[in-house]
Amino acid sequence: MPFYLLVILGILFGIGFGYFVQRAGLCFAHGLGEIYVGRGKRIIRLFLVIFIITSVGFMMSAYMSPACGLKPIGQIRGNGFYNLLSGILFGAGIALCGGCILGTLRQIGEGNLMFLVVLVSFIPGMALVVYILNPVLEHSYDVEKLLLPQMFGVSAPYITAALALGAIIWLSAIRRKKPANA
Amino acid sequence: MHEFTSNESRETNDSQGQNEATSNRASGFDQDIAPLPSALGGPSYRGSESRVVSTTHSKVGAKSRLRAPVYMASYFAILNVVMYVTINKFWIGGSSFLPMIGKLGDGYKFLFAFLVNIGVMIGAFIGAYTSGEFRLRAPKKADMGKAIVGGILIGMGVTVAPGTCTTAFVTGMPMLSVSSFLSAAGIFIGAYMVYSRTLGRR
Repeated sequence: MPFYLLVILGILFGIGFGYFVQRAGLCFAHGLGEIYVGRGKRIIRLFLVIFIITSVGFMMSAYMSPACGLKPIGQIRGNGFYNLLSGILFGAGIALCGGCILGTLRQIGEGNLMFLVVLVSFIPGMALVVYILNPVLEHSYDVEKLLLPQMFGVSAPYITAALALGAIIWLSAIRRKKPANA
Repeated sequence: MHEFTSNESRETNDSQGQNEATSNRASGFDQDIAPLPSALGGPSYRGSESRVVSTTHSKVGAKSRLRAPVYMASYFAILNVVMYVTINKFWIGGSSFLPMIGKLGDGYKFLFAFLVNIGVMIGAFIGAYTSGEFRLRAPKKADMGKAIVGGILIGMGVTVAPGTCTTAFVTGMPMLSVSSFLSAAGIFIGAYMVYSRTLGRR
């Protein structure tokens, strides 16, 4: 597929993502805060719905197209230490500025110009790691790409089915619970 | 600056006597869910809670109001899968900003992801504009410090272990990628550390 066509399709998909994210009020920074104060039902429900559909969809994609199927996203660096570290830095950052990647893009689309400041502030952080820290650190750790099925030695459909089933049960349990004062 | 700007618009709508259901659906808050204060000087938790209680008692369209965010999240997930199956690309969050520091990736993969994110902003604008929630808000000086520090931390986080972070929740974990589960655990820890200091004080 020519790159220009890929770009056009990518932007169109992006517009779709942005529209649904805005209408769903999806932001994991906000959601984690809700969980922290014990009111995480909304974000957990949204996450479970996304997880169920996407995990089954990605699993099925292998049967639709040989080029698809499950792929390890990202890399395990330093036996997972750097993944944890990156998560901690990212988690602290999104909690501090009040928007994850989804939330930041959404807020900019909604006209909140403060998140443009957040977006521009990514630049020094990324530059610091990519141009200064990574060249030094890259020699000190192993990089690995791994999926859960490979780690446990179990076929992928079994793991997907188990996780999706667990998510469905959790979702049903959340939907059934009514607030005490309702 | 905070995540609850949709609520601000809802508050405005309420004061103008406009449709509560529309704005409430867009913000994604259910009746039993109160908006949360952000670390950037958002409204206090108790104040926000009382505001929600006072604005969500309309019985008109209550069911659809409750379900709409879930449906929208479903469409989002379906689109995520459709994109992967049709053009063999998936939505990524963090690494997509690498073109801002001159890294376009092999086969322009980061550039492609960056352009998808441009589309996300356009889509969010369309969603906000069509629902009457679009409102230009200038940055507040008081929030600038946290915004910059938060942005720098996000920038560091998405590059210390690329292809993780927010991507973990919408792409990596459903892909059963181990790095995404590790990253998600880190995100919980990092967010907890900040929220315990900021929300805990209120």
